[in-house]
Amino acid sequence: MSKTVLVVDDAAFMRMMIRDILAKEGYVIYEAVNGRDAIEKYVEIRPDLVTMDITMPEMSGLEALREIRLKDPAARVLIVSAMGQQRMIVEALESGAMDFLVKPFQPTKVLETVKKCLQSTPRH
Amino acid sequence: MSDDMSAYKEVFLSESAEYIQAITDGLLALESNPNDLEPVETVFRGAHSLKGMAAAMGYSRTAELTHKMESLMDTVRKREQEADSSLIDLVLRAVDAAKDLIAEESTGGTALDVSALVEKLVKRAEQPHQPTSSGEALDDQAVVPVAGGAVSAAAPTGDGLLCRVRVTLSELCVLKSVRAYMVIKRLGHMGAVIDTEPGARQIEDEEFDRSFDVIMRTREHEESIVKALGAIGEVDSVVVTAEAQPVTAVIEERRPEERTRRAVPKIAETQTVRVSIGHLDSMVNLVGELVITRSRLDRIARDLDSAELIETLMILEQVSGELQHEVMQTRMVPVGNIFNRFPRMVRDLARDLDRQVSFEMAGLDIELDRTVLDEIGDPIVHLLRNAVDHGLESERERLAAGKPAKGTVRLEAGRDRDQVKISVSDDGGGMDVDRIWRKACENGIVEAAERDTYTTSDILLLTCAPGFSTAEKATAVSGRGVGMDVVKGKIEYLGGTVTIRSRPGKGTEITMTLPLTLAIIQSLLVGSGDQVFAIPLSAVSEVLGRDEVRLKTVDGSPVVVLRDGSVAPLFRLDEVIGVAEYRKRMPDTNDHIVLMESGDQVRALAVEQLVGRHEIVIKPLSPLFKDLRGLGGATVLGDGRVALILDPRTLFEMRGGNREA
Repeated sequence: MSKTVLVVDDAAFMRMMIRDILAKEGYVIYEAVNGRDAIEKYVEIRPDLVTMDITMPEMSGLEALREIRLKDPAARVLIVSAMGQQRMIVEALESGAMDFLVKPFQPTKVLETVKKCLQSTPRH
Repeated sequence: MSDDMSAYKEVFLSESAEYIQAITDGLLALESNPNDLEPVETVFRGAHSLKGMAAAMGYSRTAELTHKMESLMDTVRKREQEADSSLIDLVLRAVDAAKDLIAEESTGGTALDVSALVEKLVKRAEQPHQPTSSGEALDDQAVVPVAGGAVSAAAPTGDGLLCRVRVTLSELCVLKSVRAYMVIKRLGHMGAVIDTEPGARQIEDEEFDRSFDVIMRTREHEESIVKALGAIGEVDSVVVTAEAQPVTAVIEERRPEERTRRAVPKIAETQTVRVSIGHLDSMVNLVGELVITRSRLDRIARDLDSAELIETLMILEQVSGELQHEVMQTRMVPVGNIFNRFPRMVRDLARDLDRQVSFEMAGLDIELDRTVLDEIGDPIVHLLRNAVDHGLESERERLAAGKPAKGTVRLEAGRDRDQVKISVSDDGGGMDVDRIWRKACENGIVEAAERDTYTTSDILLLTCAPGFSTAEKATAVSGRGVGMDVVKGKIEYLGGTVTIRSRPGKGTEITMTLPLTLAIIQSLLVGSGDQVFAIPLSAVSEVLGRDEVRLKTVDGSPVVVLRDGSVAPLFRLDEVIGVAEYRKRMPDTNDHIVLMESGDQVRALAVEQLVGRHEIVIKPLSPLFKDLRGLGGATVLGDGRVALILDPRTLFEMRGGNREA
């Protein structure tokens, strides 16, 4: 069965890039445009993995990550962030994110990381 | 990736324009209220998103510039410095530069150099920087708590074997320190991390090449450690060796703060999709074709006198009518989409003129057809410029008149049945009716004796007559008042009207009333040679046969004598549009005479063929032809031919057309 991925980013451009990369490999993609949207969609879809941008309007990726992990401790969340956000990434990892990707990214890197996340067990 | 980039470029360009707008709006909001943190966040996030997108596109200069913008805004966010006007100016300049850079980098250019601006941003970010504690640093030099937290789940110290785990990160690893943090954290789950080599500090600062060692005590097997770390991204190799020497470093244990959050209430969200404008335009075209074909079928059905066909066609008519309505609805865009660039313009203008202006906007959610909206941007710019430059008095005059020094300019949109009213008002000195009248007389626009036949609003509208100017002195901003006739002409071309209200000492309000849509209009199709042209039906007052009119020659130019005895200058279509010789002026015997009204001028146009009345779908001309006088757009006819749409407003100003005394 194909794995589902919820792509969370406020930039449609970024969502499109990640979607294209993953959809080519057979993942089923859902999208959310901010943290709040991500939580709602997560509850609804229960995706196998969430790729989460950090800086977003309405609700940041960090808050959404915590909320999602609270609702589902087995949630797999992969942080996608820009350069210069080390501290936030660490905070996200502290809050239960499985791994991180730094923009700009190579498609192969995205696929590899997503695969790794899906293979390992989330823990905190 | 670069091969696929072109597919993303369109999305990138449209979205980056939105971010640039959001940043500009945020900066202006911040300027009017420096203590509001909301716009700071908006600007920060906008710059941040732009940076990420630009980097993904490989637009390195844009990424660099927006990164520095982000860093600077971060200092404001963290309250390390005030967003004073110099800072806002600097960031606004950076936004402008980013816009240019995006335009350049997206077309492969390399000429722009923004390094000076980047340096200014960096300097400004550092300049007043007084961190409250030495430990607080920008995210760029983030202090990564390598060991902190990682040991939280540690097995009791002293348990298991002491070993050294050498981890080598991949060559392309970004954020090595965070990667190392993940490794150490994972190892913390498998035993007790005792020390690292190099030390925690160096790892935080990324002062290591690709490898680092973790010394830990664990009961796990070598394979499971290798496997666990292998699951972490960007880890190239893991080597576990037994460690003989006991290490006696004490690592402080730090627990991440437990956070609980309230459940977030659900917020209803409209489901929207992005559709390219091209799709919408072609949908309108297709609906237009449908409308035309339907009317043809209608005629055939009546000729055949088939009740069944007529009945079916009635249903088709209803459905296609609804479809047309829906498609038109999709093309409606909130006026806010073009209004949003005006605050910046007014601000810059007020600055240039050294005037204090408070700019208000209302009715941003009023919707107009995109075609109309695209057309009214320039008229609004004219009106706003006039309001700031001529409408408002100088600060001294205002104070003398007992008004606040700061003038108010207001841009408002409102809906009135199937029309949209857009008004620009100011609280300036108002327009001087007597002076306007005198000026109009001097310029030969009116006769002094006619004064009694003009109402006040008629006189105010004289400012829209071509060549009228009341501005005492021309400025670079508003020019010599040439704007108003252009504004009025444009609005009338769009099927709208302009009204002016003015009260001495209180201010002026100019209102443009526009139809909701004009993508589909009624037109008269006429032919010249093998070309077909469309004349908006709204401009046509009458169509006559050649033998129904009397022709005369006045001063060597042909005129048509109208029923009431007045004359209208006569033009030949092929002459006006320049396909025939200039001198060939008298119409042929088979020509038709189209009487056209524009303003209060009646002109007669002789055309070779009358094709008929049609609903046509206006397609704007490419920007290349934007300045071409006489043409208002193009349309594709039912048979696939392209017809140019004549613009009655400027048609007679074309070559050879302008021959009034």
